[in-house]
Amino acid sequence: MKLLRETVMLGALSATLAGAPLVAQGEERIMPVTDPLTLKECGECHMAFPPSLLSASSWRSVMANLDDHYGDNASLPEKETAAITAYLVANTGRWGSPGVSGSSAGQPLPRFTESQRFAHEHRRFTPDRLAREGIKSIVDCVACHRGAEQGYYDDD
Amino acid sequence: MKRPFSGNWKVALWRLWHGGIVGSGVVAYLTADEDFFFMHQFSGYLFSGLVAARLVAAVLARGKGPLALRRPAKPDAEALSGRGPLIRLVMPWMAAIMLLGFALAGYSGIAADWFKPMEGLHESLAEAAPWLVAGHLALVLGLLWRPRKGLGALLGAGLSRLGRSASVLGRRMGVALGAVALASGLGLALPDPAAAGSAQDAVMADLLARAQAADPAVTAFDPARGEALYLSRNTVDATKPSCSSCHTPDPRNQGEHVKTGRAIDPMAVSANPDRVSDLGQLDKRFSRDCPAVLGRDCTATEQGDFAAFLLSR
Repeated sequence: MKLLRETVMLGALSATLAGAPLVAQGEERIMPVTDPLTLKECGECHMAFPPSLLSASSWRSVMANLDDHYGDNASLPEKETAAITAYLVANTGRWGSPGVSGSSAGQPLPRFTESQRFAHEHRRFTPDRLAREGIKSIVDCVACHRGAEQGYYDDD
Repeated sequence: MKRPFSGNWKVALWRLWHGGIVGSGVVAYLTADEDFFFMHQFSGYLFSGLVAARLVAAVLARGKGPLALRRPAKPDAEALSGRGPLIRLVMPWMAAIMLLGFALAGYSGIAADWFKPMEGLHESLAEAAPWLVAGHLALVLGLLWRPRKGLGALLGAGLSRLGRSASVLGRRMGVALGAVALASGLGLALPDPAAAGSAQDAVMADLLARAQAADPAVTAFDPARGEALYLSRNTVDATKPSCSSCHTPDPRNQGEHVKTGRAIDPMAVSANPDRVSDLGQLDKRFSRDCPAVLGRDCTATEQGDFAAFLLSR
């Protein structure tokens, strides 16, 4: 019995030591935009958001309404619009869009900030707090995540 | 009250351990959601290490002395008959449940640190910790507390210990933040003052041809008229952005998108040689920004004046 107990304890200990080198970085990686055209055109006014933040239907809805892009005119020539749409739709991913509404006609444009995961992870960053810290918008990713454009969203 | 290191050294060691696990546990719990993630990480690893150390100490104690962990036993009539036997019955159960709960919380945190998808599990497991502590406090106070010992003194000692560990962590954090600030300050790149070239000349020639097609009387563009356009307020809605809302009143400055906070490279060619080098880019911005700021498209002459203004700065 005693031997069993000691074996279990030593097992727990060695598991800890094996798994716990003392310095580690909490790290979240989201594949950044790599397409040069998407980087340039989206990145002119805001960080080019990773395609995996929205579903394919949400991206199509965003890209079909560039003339009223959340209140701003972001229209592009048809050729560019089609190329960027194709890139975004081909690279949607695991963040997907649970919680995101409005990807069909007549509804407001989908916002990745409404996704359950985004809202949960940013629940403490209220508009008041952003204003206090001089951050203009919750979608200014690099204001907090310095490596966001390279795809790193560490908790820093 | 006994001083911490008087008497049995094993008891002193246990007290030290207890202080450490309380301190690191409280700090880890309180910083779970904070910005200074480093603090949560540090205290969490310390906490997990202390749980492991407690298990090692129990193994080394070989069932004897204050550091041993006893096997929880089933209650019997004798155990429920008096205070002493009741304590001997309850303590092993309490220790086993707490160590198991703390080990799950701590080790799942380490797992989450290395493998992000474990985060949800860690959050749920760690939420059990305050309940374990509450139960622990209730049991200890109920079974062991004798009022004459002075709870106030006991709490005071515990709090000062907690305060000391928090202040050490705070200092370390301050040093780390300072280093980060210094590093990012040193990392500022100097702008490259490259000269404007023939690309701008070609764009200006195209703009002039366009303006003359619309109005044959045009012979040259006027940077001063372009500047007036740049500095004019939004004529559609005074609360809406004008050129300078994002680009600042001096086009040589770096701008910032008024809604998204996105950094915008300078508009003036002297500060950013890429400007006015691509007619397609200019046309795209004119087609968006003229209606937004003026409520109409810019004339070909206005486009040329504006480009001439950016070139003149």
